[in-house]
Amino acid sequence: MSEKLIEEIRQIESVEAVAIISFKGNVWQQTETGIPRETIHHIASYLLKMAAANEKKQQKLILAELLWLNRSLLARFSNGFFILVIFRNHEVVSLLRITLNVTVAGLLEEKAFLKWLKKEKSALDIHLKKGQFDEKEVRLISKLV
Amino acid sequence: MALVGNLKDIKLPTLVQINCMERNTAKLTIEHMGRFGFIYFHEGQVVHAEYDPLIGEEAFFKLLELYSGNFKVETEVRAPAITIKKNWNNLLLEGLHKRDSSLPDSKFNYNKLMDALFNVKGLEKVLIIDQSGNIVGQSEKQEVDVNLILFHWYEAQKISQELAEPNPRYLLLNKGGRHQFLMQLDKNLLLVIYLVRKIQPELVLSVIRETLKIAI
Repeated sequence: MSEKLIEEIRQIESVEAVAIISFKGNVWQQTETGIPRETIHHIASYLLKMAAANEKKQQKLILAELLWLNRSLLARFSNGFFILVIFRNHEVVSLLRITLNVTVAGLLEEKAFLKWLKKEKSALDIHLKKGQFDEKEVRLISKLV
Repeated sequence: MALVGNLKDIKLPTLVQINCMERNTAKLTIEHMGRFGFIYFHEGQVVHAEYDPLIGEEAFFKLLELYSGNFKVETEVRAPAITIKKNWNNLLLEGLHKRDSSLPDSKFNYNKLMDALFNVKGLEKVLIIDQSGNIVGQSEKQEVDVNLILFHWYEAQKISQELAEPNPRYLLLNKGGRHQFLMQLDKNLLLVIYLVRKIQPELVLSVIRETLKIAI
Protein backbone atom coordinates (compact mmCIF):
# COMPACT_ATOMS: atom_id res chain seq x y z
CA MET A 1 0.00 0.00 0.00
CA SER A 2 2.78 2.46 0.83
CA GLU A 3 4.24 1.83 -2.64
CA LYS A 4 0.96 3.06 -4.07
CA LEU A 5 0.98 6.12 -1.83
CA ILE A 6 4.54 7.01 -2.73
CA GLU A 7 3.79 6.43 -6.41
CA GLU A 8 0.89 8.89 -6.21
CA ILE A 9 3.29 11.56 -5.01
CA ARG A 10 5.92 10.65 -7.61
CA GLN A 11 3.38 11.01 -10.40
CA ILE A 12 2.71 14.63 -9.54
CA GLU A 13 4.29 16.87 -12.15
CA SER A 14 7.99 17.59 -11.75
CA VAL A 15 8.53 15.47 -8.62
CA GLU A 16 12.16 14.38 -8.55
CA ALA A 17 12.41 12.37 -5.36
CA VAL A 18 10.18 11.02 -2.60
CA ALA A 19 11.38 9.34 0.57
CA ILE A 20 9.76 8.21 3.79
CA ILE A 21 12.25 8.51 6.62
CA SER A 22 12.08 7.61 10.30
CA PHE A 23 13.22 9.88 13.11
CA LYS A 24 16.19 7.53 13.41
CA GLY A 25 17.14 8.63 9.91
CA ASN A 26 16.43 5.34 8.16
CA VAL A 27 14.49 5.14 4.93
CA TRP A 28 11.25 3.13 4.72
CA GLN A 29 10.81 3.73 1.05
CA GLN A 30 12.38 5.91 -1.56
CA THR A 31 11.79 6.41 -5.24
CA GLU A 32 14.63 5.77 -7.62
CA THR A 33 15.67 9.17 -8.88
CA GLY A 34 18.57 11.13 -10.27
CA ILE A 35 19.32 12.36 -6.77
CA PRO A 36 21.80 10.00 -5.09
CA ARG A 37 20.61 8.12 -2.01
CA GLU A 38 23.50 9.54 -0.04
CA THR A 39 22.33 13.08 -0.84
CA ILE A 40 18.82 12.23 0.34
CA HIS A 41 20.34 10.77 3.50
CA HIS A 42 22.30 13.97 4.17
CA ILE A 43 19.28 16.18 3.50
CA ALA A 44 17.24 14.04 5.88
CA SER A 45 19.85 14.50 8.59
CA TYR A 46 19.66 18.30 8.27
CA LEU A 47 15.87 18.22 8.40
CA LEU A 48 15.97 15.98 11.46
CA LYS A 49 18.34 18.43 13.14
CA MET A 50 15.83 21.20 12.42
CA ALA A 51 12.97 19.16 13.87
CA ALA A 52 15.09 18.27 16.90
CA ALA A 53 15.99 21.91 17.51
CA ASN A 54 12.31 22.79 17.46
CA GLU A 55 11.46 20.00 19.84
CA LYS A 56 14.10 21.29 22.21
CA LYS A 57 12.10 24.50 22.25
CA GLN A 58 8.81 22.65 22.76
CA GLN A 59 7.80 23.43 19.21
CA LYS A 60 6.55 20.76 16.86
CA LEU A 61 7.70 21.02 13.29
CA ILE A 62 4.94 19.91 10.94
CA LEU A 63 6.11 21.17 7.58
CA ALA A 64 9.27 22.64 6.14
CA GLU A 65 9.23 24.18 2.69
CA LEU A 66 12.31 25.34 0.86
CA LEU A 67 12.30 27.16 -2.42
CA TRP A 68 15.17 27.72 -4.81
CA LEU A 69 14.99 29.28 -8.23
CA ASN A 70 14.13 26.06 -10.07
CA ARG A 71 13.64 23.57 -7.33
CA SER A 72 11.62 23.09 -4.15
CA LEU A 73 11.59 20.79 -1.17
CA LEU A 74 8.77 19.79 1.13
CA ALA A 75 9.19 17.83 4.33
CA ARG A 76 5.99 16.74 6.06
CA PHE A 77 6.59 15.59 9.61
CA SER A 78 4.42 13.23 11.64
CA ASN A 79 4.97 11.18 14.77
CA GLY A 80 8.22 9.30 14.34
CA PHE A 81 8.74 9.91 10.62
CA PHE A 82 8.62 12.40 7.79
CA ILE A 83 8.06 12.41 4.07
CA LEU A 84 10.55 14.25 1.92
CA VAL A 85 9.68 15.45 -1.56
CA ILE A 86 11.97 17.29 -3.96
CA PHE A 87 10.35 18.78 -7.04
CA ARG A 88 10.96 21.26 -9.83
CA ASN A 89 7.72 23.10 -10.47
CA HIS A 90 6.65 25.13 -7.45
CA GLU A 91 3.14 25.52 -8.82
CA VAL A 92 2.31 22.03 -7.60
CA VAL A 93 3.18 22.83 -3.99
CA SER A 94 -0.45 23.12 -2.81
CA LEU A 95 -1.36 19.81 -4.42
CA LEU A 96 1.69 18.23 -2.84
CA ARG A 97 0.83 19.54 0.62
CA ILE A 98 -2.63 17.99 0.38
CA THR A 99 -1.28 14.73 -1.03
CA LEU A 100 1.27 14.52 1.77
CA ASN A 101 -1.47 14.88 4.38
CA VAL A 102 -3.35 12.03 2.73
CA THR A 103 -0.16 9.96 2.54
CA VAL A 104 0.58 10.47 6.24
CA ALA A 105 -2.95 9.31 7.12
CA GLY A 106 -2.59 6.31 4.76
CA LEU A 107 0.76 5.28 6.20
CA LEU A 108 -0.57 5.41 9.74
CA GLU A 109 -3.11 2.76 8.72
CA GLU A 110 -0.58 0.41 7.23
CA LYS A 111 0.40 -2.40 9.58
CA ALA A 112 3.79 -3.14 8.03
CA PHE A 113 4.74 0.51 8.19
CA LEU A 114 3.61 0.84 11.80
CA LYS A 115 5.60 -2.25 12.73
CA TRP A 116 8.69 -0.74 11.13
CA LEU A 117 8.02 2.61 12.75
CA LYS A 118 7.82 0.95 16.16
CA LYS A 119 11.27 -0.52 15.61
CA GLU A 120 12.54 2.85 14.44
CA LYS A 121 11.28 4.68 17.50
CA SER A 122 13.81 7.30 18.45
CA ALA A 123 13.97 10.56 20.31
CA LEU A 124 14.67 13.50 18.02
CA ASP A 125 17.22 15.06 20.32
CA ILE A 126 19.73 12.39 19.34
CA HIS A 127 20.27 14.37 16.14
CA LEU A 128 21.61 17.27 18.16
CA LYS A 129 23.93 14.98 20.13
CA LYS A 130 25.27 12.42 17.69
CA GLY A 131 26.37 12.69 14.10
CA GLN A 132 28.55 15.07 12.16
CA PHE A 133 28.52 18.72 13.10
CA ASP A 134 30.61 21.56 11.86
CA GLU A 135 31.82 24.37 14.10
CA LYS A 136 28.90 26.66 13.38
CA GLU A 137 26.34 23.96 14.08
CA VAL A 138 28.07 23.11 17.38
CA ARG A 139 28.04 26.77 18.37
CA LEU A 140 24.38 27.29 17.45
CA ILE A 141 23.24 24.03 19.08
CA SER A 142 25.05 24.96 22.28
CA LYS A 143 22.98 28.15 22.39
CA LEU A 144 19.67 26.32 22.00
CA VAL A 145 19.10 26.08 25.72
CA MET B 1 -15.25 59.53 23.13
CA ALA B 2 -11.62 58.46 22.74
CA LEU B 3 -10.36 56.83 19.56
CA VAL B 4 -8.41 53.68 20.36
CA GLY B 5 -6.50 51.25 18.21
CA ASN B 6 -3.12 49.76 17.39
CA LEU B 7 -0.33 51.23 15.32
CA LYS B 8 -0.29 48.03 13.29
CA ASP B 9 -3.63 49.15 11.85
CA ILE B 10 -3.18 52.92 11.68
CA LYS B 11 0.36 54.16 11.40
CA LEU B 12 1.56 56.98 13.59
CA PRO B 13 2.26 59.41 10.71
CA THR B 14 -1.34 58.88 9.56
CA LEU B 15 -2.65 59.57 13.06
CA VAL B 16 -0.60 62.76 13.26
CA GLN B 17 -1.82 63.88 9.85
CA ILE B 18 -5.47 63.26 10.74
CA ASN B 19 -5.25 65.26 13.96
CA CYS B 20 -3.40 68.12 12.30
CA MET B 21 -5.58 68.35 9.22
CA GLU B 22 -8.71 68.32 11.34
CA ARG B 23 -7.19 71.06 13.50
CA ASN B 24 -7.70 69.02 16.64
CA THR B 25 -6.72 69.83 20.16
CA ALA B 26 -5.99 66.40 21.55
CA LYS B 27 -3.71 64.08 23.42
CA LEU B 28 -2.40 60.97 21.69
CA THR B 29 -1.17 58.29 24.07
CA ILE B 30 0.90 55.37 22.79
CA GLU B 31 1.69 52.31 24.86
CA HIS B 32 4.50 50.15 23.55
CA MET B 33 5.80 47.24 25.61
CA GLY B 34 4.74 48.88 28.85
CA ARG B 35 6.34 52.20 27.92
CA PHE B 36 4.16 55.26 27.34
CA GLY B 37 4.55 58.09 24.89
CA PHE B 38 2.42 61.19 24.41
CA ILE B 39 1.87 63.61 21.56
CA TYR B 40 -0.21 66.73 22.14
CA PHE B 41 -1.99 68.66 19.41
CA HIS B 42 -3.23 72.21 19.73
CA GLU B 43 -5.53 73.49 17.02
CA GLY B 44 -3.92 71.24 14.45
CA GLN B 45 -0.29 71.71 15.43
CA VAL B 46 1.98 69.28 17.27
CA VAL B 47 3.01 71.26 20.33
CA HIS B 48 4.43 68.76 22.77
CA ALA B 49 5.70 65.16 22.92
CA GLU B 50 7.05 62.91 25.63
CA TYR B 51 8.64 59.51 25.40
CA ASP B 52 10.53 58.82 28.55
CA PRO B 53 13.21 60.15 28.99
CA LEU B 54 12.83 62.29 25.86
CA ILE B 55 10.77 65.45 25.51
CA GLY B 56 9.85 67.63 22.54
CA GLU B 57 11.03 66.94 19.00
CA GLU B 58 13.36 64.13 20.08
CA ALA B 59 10.48 62.30 21.72
CA PHE B 60 8.29 62.83 18.65
CA PHE B 61 11.01 61.46 16.32
CA LYS B 62 11.56 58.43 18.54
CA LEU B 63 7.83 57.71 18.62
CA LEU B 64 7.78 57.69 14.81
CA GLU B 65 10.00 54.60 14.93
CA LEU B 66 7.21 52.54 16.51
CA TYR B 67 5.33 50.15 14.30
CA SER B 68 3.09 48.65 16.91
CA GLY B 69 1.54 49.56 20.21
CA ASN B 70 -1.87 50.55 21.49
CA PHE B 71 -2.92 54.13 21.05
CA LYS B 72 -5.65 56.37 22.35
CA VAL B 73 -6.67 59.81 21.11
CA GLU B 74 -8.52 62.00 23.60
CA THR B 75 -9.89 65.22 22.20
CA GLU B 76 -9.94 68.57 23.96
CA VAL B 77 -6.98 67.70 26.19
CA ARG B 78 -4.45 70.49 26.36
CA ALA B 79 -0.67 70.11 26.43
CA PRO B 80 1.04 70.56 29.81
CA ALA B 81 3.85 72.47 28.06
CA ILE B 82 4.84 73.78 24.63
CA THR B 83 8.08 72.09 23.59
CA ILE B 84 7.58 71.94 19.81
CA LYS B 85 7.16 75.01 17.66
CA LYS B 86 7.78 73.65 14.18
CA ASN B 87 4.96 73.44 11.69
CA TRP B 88 3.51 69.91 11.88
CA ASN B 89 4.16 69.23 8.22
CA ASN B 90 7.89 70.05 8.46
CA LEU B 91 8.13 68.21 11.75
CA LEU B 92 6.62 65.04 10.31
CA LEU B 93 8.77 65.17 7.18
CA GLU B 94 11.91 65.71 9.24
CA GLY B 95 10.94 62.85 11.54
CA LEU B 96 10.32 60.43 8.69
CA HIS B 97 13.55 61.45 7.02
CA LYS B 98 15.49 60.95 10.26
CA ARG B 99 13.86 57.58 10.78
CA ASP B 100 14.77 56.34 7.32
CA SER B 101 18.27 57.78 7.15
CA SER B 102 19.31 56.37 10.51
CA LEU B 103 19.66 52.99 8.87
CA PRO B 104 22.90 51.02 8.78
CA ASP B 105 22.76 50.93 4.99
CA SER B 106 20.79 53.63 3.24
CA LYS B 107 20.22 51.34 0.27
CA PHE B 108 18.49 48.92 2.48
CA ASN B 109 15.53 50.59 4.00
CA TYR B 110 14.22 48.05 6.45
CA ASN B 111 11.83 50.48 8.08
CA LYS B 112 10.18 50.96 4.73
CA LEU B 113 10.08 47.22 4.28
CA MET B 114 8.47 46.61 7.65
CA ASP B 115 6.01 49.36 6.89
CA ALA B 116 5.09 47.71 3.62
CA LEU B 117 4.91 44.25 5.14
CA PHE B 118 2.51 45.43 7.80
CA ASN B 119 0.07 46.31 5.06
CA VAL B 120 -0.12 42.60 4.36
CA LYS B 121 -2.91 41.23 6.50
CA GLY B 122 -1.98 38.28 8.63
CA LEU B 123 1.56 39.11 9.70
CA GLU B 124 2.15 38.82 13.42
CA LYS B 125 5.67 40.15 13.71
CA VAL B 126 8.57 40.98 11.48
CA LEU B 127 12.21 41.15 12.35
CA ILE B 128 15.53 41.46 10.64
CA ILE B 129 18.58 39.82 12.14
CA ASP B 130 22.20 39.72 11.09
CA GLN B 131 24.35 36.62 10.83
CA SER B 132 25.66 37.15 14.35
CA GLY B 133 22.14 37.08 15.73
CA ASN B 134 21.82 40.80 16.40
CA ILE B 135 18.34 42.15 15.85
CA VAL B 136 18.68 44.96 13.32
CA GLY B 137 14.98 45.77 13.12
CA GLN B 138 11.91 44.53 14.88
CA SER B 139 8.24 45.30 14.57
CA GLU B 140 7.74 44.89 18.29
CA LYS B 141 9.90 43.90 21.17
CA GLN B 142 8.88 40.33 21.79
CA GLU B 143 11.16 37.57 22.85
CA VAL B 144 12.49 35.75 19.82
CA ASP B 145 14.82 32.79 19.72
CA VAL B 146 17.42 34.14 17.36
CA ASN B 147 19.67 31.10 17.66
CA LEU B 148 16.89 28.76 16.58
CA ILE B 149 16.23 30.97 13.56
CA LEU B 150 19.92 31.05 12.64
CA PHE B 151 20.15 27.29 13.09
CA HIS B 152 17.20 26.73 10.76
CA TRP B 153 18.68 28.96 8.12
CA TYR B 154 22.09 27.35 8.42
CA GLU B 155 20.63 23.86 7.95
CA ALA B 156 18.65 25.16 4.95
CA GLN B 157 21.92 26.39 3.46
CA LYS B 158 23.47 22.97 4.00
CA ILE B 159 20.55 21.32 2.22
CA SER B 160 21.14 23.75 -0.65
CA GLN B 161 24.76 22.68 -0.85
CA GLU B 162 23.74 19.02 -1.02
CA LEU B 163 21.55 19.78 -4.01
CA ALA B 164 24.15 22.07 -5.59
CA GLU B 165 21.69 24.94 -5.35
CA PRO B 166 22.41 28.53 -4.29
CA ASN B 167 20.95 29.76 -1.02
CA PRO B 168 17.20 29.22 -0.86
CA ARG B 169 14.82 32.02 -1.77
CA TYR B 170 12.94 31.23 1.40
CA LEU B 171 12.31 28.70 4.10
CA LEU B 172 8.76 28.33 5.36
CA LEU B 173 8.14 26.40 8.54
CA ASN B 174 4.84 25.26 9.97
CA LYS B 175 5.20 24.73 13.67
CA GLY B 176 2.02 23.37 15.14
CA GLY B 177 -0.07 25.54 12.85
CA ARG B 178 2.04 28.67 13.29
CA HIS B 179 4.04 29.69 10.27
CA GLN B 180 7.47 31.21 10.17
CA PHE B 181 8.99 32.61 7.01
CA LEU B 182 12.74 33.10 6.63
CA MET B 183 14.44 34.86 3.78
CA GLN B 184 17.92 36.21 3.18
CA LEU B 185 17.86 39.89 2.23
CA ASP B 186 21.56 40.25 1.58
CA LYS B 187 24.79 38.53 2.61
CA ASN B 188 24.37 39.51 6.21
CA LEU B 189 20.68 40.05 6.86
CA LEU B 190 17.86 37.62 7.37
CA LEU B 191 14.20 38.59 7.29
CA VAL B 192 11.97 36.66 9.67
CA ILE B 193 8.20 36.87 9.54
CA TYR B 194 5.75 35.22 11.90
CA LEU B 195 2.44 34.69 10.20
CA VAL B 196 -0.89 34.74 12.00
CA ARG B 197 -2.35 32.60 9.29
CA LYS B 198 -1.13 30.92 6.15
CA ILE B 199 -0.18 33.49 3.55
CA GLN B 200 1.15 32.67 0.13
CA PRO B 201 4.92 33.30 0.39
CA GLU B 202 4.76 34.77 -3.13
CA LEU B 203 2.73 37.65 -1.71
CA VAL B 204 5.45 38.42 0.82
CA LEU B 205 8.11 38.09 -1.88
CA SER B 206 6.30 40.53 -4.13
CA VAL B 207 6.03 43.10 -1.30
CA ILE B 208 9.77 42.77 -0.69
CA ARG B 209 10.54 43.06 -4.39
CA GLU B 210 8.39 46.17 -4.74
CA THR B 211 9.69 47.86 -1.61
CA LEU B 212 13.38 47.21 -1.94
CA LYS B 213 13.44 47.17 -5.72
CA ILE B 214 15.48 44.01 -5.68
CA ALA B 215 15.20 40.87 -7.72
CA ILE B 216 14.36 37.91 -5.52
